[in-house]
Amino acid sequence: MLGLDRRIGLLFGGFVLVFAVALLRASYIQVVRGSALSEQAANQQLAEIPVPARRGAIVDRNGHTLAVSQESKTIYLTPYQLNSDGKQVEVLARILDQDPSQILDAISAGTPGYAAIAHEVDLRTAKRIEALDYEGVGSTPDSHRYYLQGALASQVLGIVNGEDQGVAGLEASYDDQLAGSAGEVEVTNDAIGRTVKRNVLTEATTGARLKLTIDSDIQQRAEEVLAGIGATYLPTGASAIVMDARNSEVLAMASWSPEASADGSEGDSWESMQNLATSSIYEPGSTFKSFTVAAAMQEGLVTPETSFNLAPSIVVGDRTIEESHARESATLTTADILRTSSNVGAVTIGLMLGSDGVTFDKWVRRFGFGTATGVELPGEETGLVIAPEDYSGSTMGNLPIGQGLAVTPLQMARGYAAIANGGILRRPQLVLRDASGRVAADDGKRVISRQTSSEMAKMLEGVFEEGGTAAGVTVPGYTLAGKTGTAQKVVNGVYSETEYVASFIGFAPANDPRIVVSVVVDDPSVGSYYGGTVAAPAFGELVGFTLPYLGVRSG
Amino acid sequence: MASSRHLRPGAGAPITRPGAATGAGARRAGGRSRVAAIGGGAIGRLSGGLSRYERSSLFKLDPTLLFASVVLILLSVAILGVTTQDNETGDPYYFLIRQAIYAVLGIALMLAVAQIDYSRFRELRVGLYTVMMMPIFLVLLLGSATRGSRRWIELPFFRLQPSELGKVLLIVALAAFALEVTRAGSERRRTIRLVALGLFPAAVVFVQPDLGTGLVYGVITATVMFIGGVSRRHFVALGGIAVAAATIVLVVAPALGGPSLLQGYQVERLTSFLNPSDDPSDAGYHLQQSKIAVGSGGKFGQGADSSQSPYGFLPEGRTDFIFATIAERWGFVGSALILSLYALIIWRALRILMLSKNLYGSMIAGGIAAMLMFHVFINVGMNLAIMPVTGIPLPLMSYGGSSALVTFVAIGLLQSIYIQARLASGTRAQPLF
Repeated sequence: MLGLDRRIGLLFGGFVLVFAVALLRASYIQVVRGSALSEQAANQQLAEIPVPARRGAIVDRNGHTLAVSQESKTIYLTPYQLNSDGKQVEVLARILDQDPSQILDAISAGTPGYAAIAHEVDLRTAKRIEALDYEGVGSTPDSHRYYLQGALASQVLGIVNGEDQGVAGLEASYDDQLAGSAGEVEVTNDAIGRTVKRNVLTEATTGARLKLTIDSDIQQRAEEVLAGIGATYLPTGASAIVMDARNSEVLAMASWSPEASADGSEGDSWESMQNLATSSIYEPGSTFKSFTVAAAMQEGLVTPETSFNLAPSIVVGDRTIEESHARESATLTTADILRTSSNVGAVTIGLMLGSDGVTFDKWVRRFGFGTATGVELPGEETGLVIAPEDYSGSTMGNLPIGQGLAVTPLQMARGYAAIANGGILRRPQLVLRDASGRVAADDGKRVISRQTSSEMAKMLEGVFEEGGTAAGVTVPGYTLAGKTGTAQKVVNGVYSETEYVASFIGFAPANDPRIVVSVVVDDPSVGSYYGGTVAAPAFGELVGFTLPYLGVRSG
Repeated sequence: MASSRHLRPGAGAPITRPGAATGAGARRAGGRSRVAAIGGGAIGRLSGGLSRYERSSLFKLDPTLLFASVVLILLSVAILGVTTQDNETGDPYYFLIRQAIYAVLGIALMLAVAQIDYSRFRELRVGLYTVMMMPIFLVLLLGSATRGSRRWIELPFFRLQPSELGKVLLIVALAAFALEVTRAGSERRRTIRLVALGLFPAAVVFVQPDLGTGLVYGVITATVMFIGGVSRRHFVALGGIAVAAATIVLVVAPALGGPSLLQGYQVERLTSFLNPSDDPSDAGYHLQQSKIAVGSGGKFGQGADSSQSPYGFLPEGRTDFIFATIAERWGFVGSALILSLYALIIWRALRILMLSKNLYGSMIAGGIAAMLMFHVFINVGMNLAIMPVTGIPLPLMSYGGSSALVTFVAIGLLQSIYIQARLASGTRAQPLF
């Protein structure tokens, strides 16, 4: 055959060429590009998925659970793997108790590879979905936060968001302790999205347990009392604090707002979640007179028996200060001034501290006003205290009677605790035990002497006596001390004749104070607006419950 | 070459028992004249206990070819056994057992075919051609549709793919026709006739539609004609026509909105390999995933940590993409081993082409060599993402009975040519390589 050898040679050449190409290509892909391509393989097969940590529980001082997290599931889809007929979405929606459009929205909000369609699905529902065995439907663990006592102390506890992060209250301020640390698993997915291997990279650790100073029973009673005030006087807001006078542990901190639902179940509007005890400010009015008097006593300017000849009114700068109930000129002792809540008398004592206000301002700040209390809650207000150099001619006519400055209910309670406990101003405390163990009580600092303290207590007892502003409020078996406040609210820059803050702050038993109780009612709109009428009975009610509850002996 | 020398004593050992002496003798003989050593020397010396029949044919097989083909099918069985434990049938040995049965049947078929003098097929050319065409038509008429194409006839326990068998029948028949027409008529008439005979089944298979097998028929036809001595002028002319036809089908006709001869998925497959990442969802996705599988095998393979094929990213991991499965599991070492075994087979096929006692044998050997080469290159090229997805299996490796049996028939034919050449030894010179 002519040329056959050449043709065979050509065929052989083709053979060598073809194998050389195949071998070179294989060595290029496997040796040169090997690591890059195996990375691509890993990229499409492996996914690192965070495993959320169980959030720590929050319990009250007696160990009753207030908030706890339960394991639940997040249901997610790999949308491109779903059947396109939409039946699967309908089934999922039915089980999840959602509208199919919600799932479709979640899909369009996600990526083609991942769309979470439901968070915090309880395990039983999740199991039903897993049993469907739909291609492209998966679940990862997450957790649901349960508040076992419903709305109880909800403004103190706060709330978590969908990602299990605390966004309000103690949930927010203790988020790093409560949250724990998320773990991570590396999952290997096959081509249709089923997980074929799970490799735990880091274990999740449960968050710390938080034990509060709050007592659920006292808290419960405080909220009931506020609800009663809310129903009777239709205010725009109310708060109550029950605090251990000896160490400033907060036993109850309640907030009421009209937005809170009537049955006390969880109201989740931001208004109803606002903690009025720490994040609302008001002009304290007459309750502030105690600090004016305590300062003058500690400066040695007055004693409880010092008597004053008082005109019906007093002029300071361009302002004339009158009594709330007009009277003739009279001679009143320091104790009488507090008992009857005399404006003229309080301003007179305030002016004794110096009309420039420097000494008075020192005492205002010493009692903690103008500074946040440092309680373990986010968003605490500092109040408003103007500096002496900014005083006008009439300022010293306002400040001694609690006008022209703004405080929070908790700041007032802290100040009264110092008067009650022998003179030590302490940081109020909400957390008894956290991740690092027992939280030590604040040592505090002395602001008035023991003697001033006990003399103040005696004078404030008089408020409940005949002729006092809270006469008629009694708790059988216990002596009470406290001060009423009926402060005009500033509306459009002037003191309103119709809007008041009615408040009462005091402590009991008067001779050996165990608790400080504050009740602040913002703008009671029907019935009465006097602190003695609106707030003082609530004070009495809370003292009457709490002291026997705590086992404080009467008599 | 080195491997062939090393393998020979191995193939002889089980027969001789006192293997050392024979092995050494063969090794010595290998340096001098390989063909003589196997055919005459080695076998001659151990003829004592063997029947005349065995001496005359069975033990005159080309041992390298035998070795390479048996090792490949055994590797296939082993690989399917390892990688299909968790297959969807629920039976961990489903594919292992079936491929093992095909292997045994195939080897038996190869040994049987090797005993036949291929030259007898010359007279049967019309019958063979008819036998080839009938089932191909039958498939077209009543074949079951699979993935957009009809290639199979459903038989109990077996899906017959007649276009596979057709490949070998075409080689044998077409080579015979080439000889017949050499004697009479002009050269041009002969060329036209061969082209018509070759492209007719190609066209029918193409319509099934099975583009890949159609191309195999085309390559077979071209190679048989090439070895059969069709003039260079004619090849140039045919090449020109082929290029023009391809251009019209692939480019001009679609551009003019005319009827498309290719199915949509075929065009997609043919074009997507040029730019696999353009189309990561379908045909391009297959190539991309195959490339990732091969690449992640690296130098020495992922072994049991392989993921692309077990987790379903690699499509058709036991059939069309079995090379990628191996490459991922055993790395470049595995790919190179498999490629070397194919190189061995094709080298032996080309060598047998040269040794053949007549042109008929040369044409058959050439057609088979081209067929195997085309299969290997297109399939491996597809696995390495340099060739389009055409559904051409990897001979002896891909799971499947039709392909394995037909490949063994082809190798049996090569052995037959080899044996016949040995029987007529001395009539031809030593091969060049």
